[in-house]
Amino acid sequence: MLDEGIISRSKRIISLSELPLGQSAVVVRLPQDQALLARLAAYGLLPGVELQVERQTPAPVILCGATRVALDRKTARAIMVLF
Amino acid sequence: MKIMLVGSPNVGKSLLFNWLTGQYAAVSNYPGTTVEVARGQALVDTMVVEVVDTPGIYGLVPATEEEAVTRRVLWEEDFDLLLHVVDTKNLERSLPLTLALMEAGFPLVLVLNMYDEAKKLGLTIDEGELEKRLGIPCIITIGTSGYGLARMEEAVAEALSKSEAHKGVRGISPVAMGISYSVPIAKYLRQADGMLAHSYPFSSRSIALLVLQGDEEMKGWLSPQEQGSIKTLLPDSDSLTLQVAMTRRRASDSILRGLLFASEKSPQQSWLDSLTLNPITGVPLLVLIVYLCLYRFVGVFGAVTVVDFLDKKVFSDLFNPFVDHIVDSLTTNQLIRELIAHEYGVLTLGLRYAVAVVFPIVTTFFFSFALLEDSGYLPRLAYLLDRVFQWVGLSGRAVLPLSLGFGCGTMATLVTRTLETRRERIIATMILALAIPCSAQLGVILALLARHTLALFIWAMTVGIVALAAGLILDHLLPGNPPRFILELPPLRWPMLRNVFRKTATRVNWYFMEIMSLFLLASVLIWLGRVTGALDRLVIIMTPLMARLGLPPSAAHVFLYGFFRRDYGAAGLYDMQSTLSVRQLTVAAVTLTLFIPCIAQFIMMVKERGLATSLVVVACVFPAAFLIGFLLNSVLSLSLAL
Repeated sequence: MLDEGIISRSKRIISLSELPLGQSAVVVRLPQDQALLARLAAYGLLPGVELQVERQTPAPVILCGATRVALDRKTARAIMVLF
Repeated sequence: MKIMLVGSPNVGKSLLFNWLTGQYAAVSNYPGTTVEVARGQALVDTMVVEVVDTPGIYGLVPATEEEAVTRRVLWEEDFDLLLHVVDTKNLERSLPLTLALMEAGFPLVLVLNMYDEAKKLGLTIDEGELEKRLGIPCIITIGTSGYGLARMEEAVAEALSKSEAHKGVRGISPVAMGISYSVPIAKYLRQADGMLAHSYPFSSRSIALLVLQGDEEMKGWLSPQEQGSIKTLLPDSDSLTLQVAMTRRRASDSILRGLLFASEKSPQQSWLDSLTLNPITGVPLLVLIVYLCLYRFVGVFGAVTVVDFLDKKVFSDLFNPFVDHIVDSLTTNQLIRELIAHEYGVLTLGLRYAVAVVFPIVTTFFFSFALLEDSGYLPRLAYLLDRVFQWVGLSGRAVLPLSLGFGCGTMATLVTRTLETRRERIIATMILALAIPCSAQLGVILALLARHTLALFIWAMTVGIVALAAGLILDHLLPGNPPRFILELPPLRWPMLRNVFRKTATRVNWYFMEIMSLFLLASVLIWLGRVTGALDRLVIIMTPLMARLGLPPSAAHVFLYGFFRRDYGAAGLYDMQSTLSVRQLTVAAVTLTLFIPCIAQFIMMVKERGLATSLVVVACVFPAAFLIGFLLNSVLSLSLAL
């Protein structure tokens, strides 16, 4: 479920590539590129969605709901999460 | 009556399709593309229904060739019912697509498949309430065990009889109309609805939403007048795609509120996941799997054991002498005799090559491929190798066509179609044409250089460096961006053997239809070249080049025949080896490996990449092979080692 507007002061916005393993965070911003955004949205990655990082090496793997997605680093850097 | 199965990849669509259609299905490529669409017939209740299994889609705006084909099929074909198949545990992210399909005005049944996997994660769903809220039939199924499939069939029968009752009249359901977009988008949708013709296969609301999300292909399907008008209506914002996706997701979340029951939060990473994804254990495992599936099974069992049996025992010992005998007794015309039989005949070379050499390699490969595909391992393989392939402008997916090239370059060139962008396909096609020796050629070269370890090392290094350099140069020169790597990693599943066999059979059958004519054509071309003397003239033209490489003039013959069958070239070299120095052997082996691919691979290249691209590839490969051969010869003649 989307989890919008819950912003606590102790949290900060970082890029997905910096998110520590096993930690949950909420997506706040996706890349601007329309095609890329459409693909991420298709996997359920949208602002407000909670995700977890399972791996950062050799490339990021995230878990979003029951969907596991592998990303390249460049894309991961362009996704901002609230952690 | 016609029904279509749509849904994301890896949701078990093909299993449901097989269940509905039984044994009889035809898989063909959608015209002008490289994407498979399966069609079959089912008996639903008392109705004979055509069933179409479409390639996987994540959304209605196409991002890949597969998605574009599915969208086209939905646009072009008249169907009575759509079955949206989803993986139940991914319902939250899949329901927005269900809503998009409802907005398009399609009569719909939602199939909640793989319910067993969802339950394992502690996820259950109140499908009766979901059905009420969505206003369409929702059926829980487990494709692998058959659970719920009879009910799915009943739902299909009922929906079909309903759709027959109000023939052709499609309306958007109140649920889909109730999705409330932001004020500017809602205003745009109203205006577009008033402006667009209502005779399109998609509702005007759906068309307007697709255009809003930057769907150029959809825009092109409208009348020129509408194209002009719709542009003026578009709201001014750069986040329209995001807004549409968010609106649908909110609508879908509110429909699901209180219906999904989760006892656990999220699937924990299993030991198998870390085993396959962690490079420390994943890479050795990958090497083992590639070794077993590709090398042992395809390379040794398929390409050596079975090929040897068919080629020697069946063709050389039985079939060829028999054909030679029959043809010789029927005609005394030497031209006709050589066209059909003897060394380069259509039956004795073309048919033999297709059946004895290519068929075993293709069958074993497609079997391995289907096994890896259905087990869900393939995306993990691509994930682990992605970094390496990024260097040469490819993504991890390229591991398949490239490793397949060591089996049969013709088939590997065909498989490059699984790569996502045209740019990647061109890079892979070039590397295949230039630097990957096929099994037949590899066998002879290994035998040739086996006794000269240093020569073998120089050969492998040179060819490897050339492959890498070709990739680097093309990555630099070709327009477009290096591929993005965003890939769903489905859970590992035990492949259903029946499905694997079926997939293998369909693909082998289809491939055979494609390739057979190429090999027959190749042997006719050899015959023509011999009859007209063109081959002899080409040998004369090539002879001076041989001197540049430090090779005797007779090597020209070897190179030319290498074009018709790569291993013929290498085998010719094998026959000459006593007259050649180690340096000459090394240079010849390198040049022959790099030299233009066999004629079947060239024809396949023309079919897949077009004539212009193929000619460019050949125009690069030909001089590159001789230049590198020349340079290698010069370097080696300076050193005393060889």
